Amino acid sequence: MSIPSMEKKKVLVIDDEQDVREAVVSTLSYEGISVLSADRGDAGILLAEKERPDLILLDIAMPEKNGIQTLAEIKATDWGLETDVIMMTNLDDMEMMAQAIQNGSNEYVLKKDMSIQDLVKKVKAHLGEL
Amino acid sequence: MHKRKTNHIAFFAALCTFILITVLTMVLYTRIDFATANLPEYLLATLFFAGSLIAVIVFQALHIKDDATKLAHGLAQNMAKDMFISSRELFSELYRGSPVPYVIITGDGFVSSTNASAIRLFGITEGELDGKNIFEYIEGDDEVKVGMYPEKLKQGLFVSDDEVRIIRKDGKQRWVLLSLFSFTDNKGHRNGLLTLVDISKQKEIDRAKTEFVSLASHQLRTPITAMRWNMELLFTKFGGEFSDLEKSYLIKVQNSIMRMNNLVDDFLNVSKFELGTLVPQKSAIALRTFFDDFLEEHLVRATDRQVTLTLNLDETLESIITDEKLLSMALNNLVSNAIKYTPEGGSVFIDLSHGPSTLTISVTDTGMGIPKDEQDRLFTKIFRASNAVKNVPDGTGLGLYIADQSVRVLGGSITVASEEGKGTCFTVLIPRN
Repeated sequence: MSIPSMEKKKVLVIDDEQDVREAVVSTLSYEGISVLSADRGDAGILLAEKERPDLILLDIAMPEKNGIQTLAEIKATDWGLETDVIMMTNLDDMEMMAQAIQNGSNEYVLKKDMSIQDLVKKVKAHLGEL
Repeated sequence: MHKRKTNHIAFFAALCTFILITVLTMVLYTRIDFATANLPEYLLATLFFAGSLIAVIVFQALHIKDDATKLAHGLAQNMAKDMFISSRELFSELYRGSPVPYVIITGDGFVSSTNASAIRLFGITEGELDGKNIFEYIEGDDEVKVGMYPEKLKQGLFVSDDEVRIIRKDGKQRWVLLSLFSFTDNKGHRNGLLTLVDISKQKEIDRAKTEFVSLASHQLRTPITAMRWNMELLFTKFGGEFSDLEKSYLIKVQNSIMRMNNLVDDFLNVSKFELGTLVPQKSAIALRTFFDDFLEEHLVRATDRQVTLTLNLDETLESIITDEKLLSMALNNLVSNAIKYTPEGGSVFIDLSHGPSTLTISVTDTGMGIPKDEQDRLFTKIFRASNAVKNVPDGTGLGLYIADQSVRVLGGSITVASEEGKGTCFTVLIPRN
């Protein structure tokens, strides 16, 4: 099922909700995209630093370090500046959206408004593979 | 009391005089020999009798009149004394000590007096608000309504139980129930009395309830997302392996998840309107693209229900500046209602037209209509028309509330024209900029 051109591209999913995170991981893997995942902001930053993903899907409402803080830390690194970050949340909040954009996120999407296939399309578009 | 006793003695004396004169007259009559008596004697006796009788009658009449006047005067004075003094004291005591904050203002809205409760409410010292324009300390969500108060005061019109905010000395705001009525003082000047019942506590409770609904709905979003996405994954990976029956069960689950998703959205939107946290994010919207997408979304359901859905775009207007989300929220509710309440074979029309500064969007259907006497409650929260409840059990009564609130946030308005059994037309009027 995997598409050869996709194999080099890596996506990192950072979300504390296991059921959501695993659904994203399974779907993206099924679409032939190589996926890594983390359940906390700190673990995600460490993994990203090591693996250098092309795209990060980042949840906002997480325990310990929230998505906005995690984003700020990622964007403070050299590698982070070159990595696309999609904030993937259920926080339909203008202020949060403004903060995300201010801290350098590429996109802000609401899980409630998206089917998982919509998410796949977005990921592929960001990876330049659509 | 003493006077009355003297009056009685005078009356008794008069009566004795009358009896004495009568007896004397009768004696005089009997003494007269009527056969020989001459005219002057008759006349003298008759005049004497009549004169004394008239004197007694006049005396009595005068006396009675005098007594009645005195009695009436005394009574009136006593009444006035009792009522006036006690009512003045009673009313000023009520005004001063009432738990309800009172503010007395002049016809122009300048404060002439505040009672103790009002002083506490505003967080001021006595007399501090005197001479200030009270309307500068009152704010409301409905600015037009609040702006009308000075005019209403001038015209002598009542204001009853308006929910407004007052601004305290420390800059904090308090929710109050404002009533205003005007009265004329004895110099002929118009004055106003304001009562400002503090409802901050009720508002806090109300807010806490709304926040709870918001929080609860928000918490539901994550598990709903997990259900939706895993269900989708199940179909993507194993869709081909399910029997038709298995698929039909799973589709039911999927539809229910979507319904839950939409309900949670509605609850969250309602709480946002109630908490006033929705700020419009305006941007230019290309009407053609917007309505093409919109139509595509609703055509599926319209076709399912065998209702024709027609769009008449106003081609002379390309774009408007508004909040796209709020506009589509309002129109989604209006159009999905129109489709939902229109029987098979019916039609729904979306028509656009524009004025120099406004865009009008009407949604007309050939559905069941809304009973006349229920139309004024149509946009209130959780209200559903009786015929809608009867014929289509599924509904929350939030859709039109959300539509109306969305349009209000956009600075527009919704009106309705409907006839039961014939159809309904909702007209949305919003500013183009």
